[in-house]
Parts: sequence; C-alpha cells; structure tokens
Amino acid sequence: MMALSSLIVGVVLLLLLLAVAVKGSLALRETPELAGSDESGQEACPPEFVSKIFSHDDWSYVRGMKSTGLEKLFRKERKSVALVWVRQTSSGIRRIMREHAAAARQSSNLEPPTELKIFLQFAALLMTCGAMRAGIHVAGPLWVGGLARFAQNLVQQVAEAERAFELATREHEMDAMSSL
Amino acid sequence: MLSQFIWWGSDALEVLLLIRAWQCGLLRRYPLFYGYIFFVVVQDVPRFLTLRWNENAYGYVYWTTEYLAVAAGCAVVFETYRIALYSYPGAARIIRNVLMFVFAMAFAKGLANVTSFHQWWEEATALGVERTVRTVQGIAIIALVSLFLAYSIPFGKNLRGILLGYSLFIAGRVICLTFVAPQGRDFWFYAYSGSYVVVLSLWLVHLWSYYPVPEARTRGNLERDYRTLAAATQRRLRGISGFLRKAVLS
Repeated sequence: MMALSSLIVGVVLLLLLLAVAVKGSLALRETPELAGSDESGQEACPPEFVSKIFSHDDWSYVRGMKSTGLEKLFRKERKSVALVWVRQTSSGIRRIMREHAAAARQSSNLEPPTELKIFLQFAALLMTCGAMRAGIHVAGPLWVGGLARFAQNLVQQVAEAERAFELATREHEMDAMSSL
Repeated sequence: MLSQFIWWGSDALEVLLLIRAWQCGLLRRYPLFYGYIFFVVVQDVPRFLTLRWNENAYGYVYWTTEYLAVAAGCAVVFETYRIALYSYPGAARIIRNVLMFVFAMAFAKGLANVTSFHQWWEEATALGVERTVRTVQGIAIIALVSLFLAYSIPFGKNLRGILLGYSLFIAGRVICLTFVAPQGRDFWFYAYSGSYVVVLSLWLVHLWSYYPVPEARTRGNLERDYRTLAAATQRRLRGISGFLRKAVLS
C-alpha cells in the first residue's frame, strides 16, 4: 500500500516537473496580448451570435428547407462556432484567475478559505466548459442546448417539489400546534 | 565498476558545483542548498573509510548519514520557499499552512514508524523508512510547486534549477525505492545512484552563473486590498457562469 502511494507521489512529482518545464518554455515565448481578442488571437464572439449558438431556431429553419447537404453543412459550421466560443470562454475564465493570482499573491491579508472557494468556482467553470466541449464534439451544440434546458427544467421541478414539501410540513406542524 | 564510476562522477560534479558557487558568489545567496551539497560531499569520507576499515559498521554509517542528508534536504525546500516567496507574503502564508499540514502528517507517520520499527539499521527496514520520508518530502514539494504554478511565482534560472533538480532527485528516489531490492544490485540500484548524476548535471547547468530572481511587479493599493479583489474575482466568475447558462439556454 505504502509502495503504491510512494510510486503515485513520484509519478505526480515528475508530471508536475514537466508542467514547470513546459510553463517555463511557454513563458519565454509569451507575446503581449492583443486587445479585444482572446489568447489564440481570435476576435471575441459577438453577443448576438452567442445567443444563437445553442438555439434550435436556425436548425428548424434549415430543416424546413429539406436539403440534406445544407443540414450537414449547418451542423458542421455550428459545431465549429460553438467550439470556438467554448474555447474563448474558458480562456476568459483562465485570464480572470491569472489576474486574480497575480494581484492576490502580493496581498499580505490573503485568506486561504476564500482562495479555496475561488479555486473551486474556477474549477467548476472549467469543468463545465470541458463537459460542453465533449458534448459538442460527441453530439453537437443543439443537443447540449437541449440537455441544458432539460437539466434546468428538472432542477426547477425539484425545487418546486421541495418548496411544496416544505409548505406541507409547515402546515402540518401548524395544525399540530393549534390542536394542542 | 559502474557503481565506482557513479560514486566518483558524483563527487567530481559536487566539487565542481561548489567551486563555481564560490567563484560566482552563489554560496552566500543559497547557503542552505550549498550546505546540503557540502554535506553530501563530506559524508562520503566516513562512508569510504568505514567501507575500507570496518565493513560491518558500514550499514550504520551509511544510514546515519543518509538520514542526516534527508534532514538537510528539507532545508533546501525551505530555502526555495523563503527566497521565491520573499516578495509574495500572501502566497507564502498559504504555502506555509499547507507545508505545516504536510509536516504534521509526516511527524505523525514518523512517530508511528518509530513505534513499529525496532531495527532501523536493517537494510529492508531502512529502505522502507527512507521511502516513507522521501514520499513525505515529495508531497511537500508537490504542494509547493502546485502553489508556485497557481500563483505564477517567478523564479529566475538559479532557483528554478535548484527546485527542478531537487524535485527530480526526490521523484527518482521515491520511484527507485519502490522497486529496489534490499540485497543485490539490479537495474533499480543503478537507477537509484545514477539519477543523482543527472540531477547534479542539471544543477551545474542552472547554477553555472548567478541569475537574479525577477522582482515582483508592484500593483496598486486597490489590488492589494484582498477582500475587494476576492469579491471582484468571485463576481467576475459568477458573471461568466451566468453568461454560460444564458447562452446555452437561449
């Protein structure tokens, strides 16, 4: 057991050293960031496009034209736009964390619990982006949008059920108290 | 023959490292690191003499000096922490808390070992103890390097070399100690000793001349107010979260 954990520590340490070496070589090649563009040098996706990426409206219109070639092209194009948008969003998240780290590391009153909270928020967002990227690759942006809407409906239903249960419990308690 | 070559090769590289440090003024900048190297050079004298005059006592001398070297290695980690984080009190505070936690765990584990191992000088037990201590050192370095990466702490070539070399040394030791046989000389025995020559070469390249640690860029007072900064970051991350939700659900 101890041998296995030692081996894991050794391998993790080696991987971390690799990360330090890669980061060091990337830092040497770092160029000043372009204004209004993300890290890959691409311009930010306009907000009016963003609302269309996962929407079914355009898809319904294209399907109405009954052209298999057009449908295929639409799916391909929409998929690449969605992937670019997710990549831009995750690089925006990383930029926020980088800026935070650069400022926070010099602060003398830095609070570990707050830092942990921020890190968890950051990790959750990056994981969401990763899951979205995987979903887009596997099934396309329209499916991701549909799944998200389904998940939201489910969460709303659970919340409503919980509220109803809470109200019913409270009423039951009030009845019990009034009968005493 | 190969082990003799590794032994003398390591000694030659260590002496060269110390000579270069003395010539470039690195000795006074990284005293604990060079103290460690000096100790490693000096420990070979009693080992060599014992091997020559009283072979039966070699195990005792070897493991005593080895444990002392492990303790000196902890000083190297401490020096890296002290110099790299001199201008970053916030990050230093977090790392101090993490290291205290790791060393408290190590202390507890060490205490458990003291009560369970009664024959520390036996080869198999001594290897196991060294593996345990090196693993704890490895965990401490993982914590240190992860936080260095998370906060993008700049090192400078010298400090980067010390950290890379020592981490590689610990990683190599931990992996080799997992597989090395208590008796005899197999591949892992030579890998265990030979990895140190690689580490010394890495140190020699990075510590050939003095390179200053990059200065921390001072930021405005607003950014130094940690609570304002943390709240702003959390707000920005929440904003992105809302933006993602809105885009997907639109």
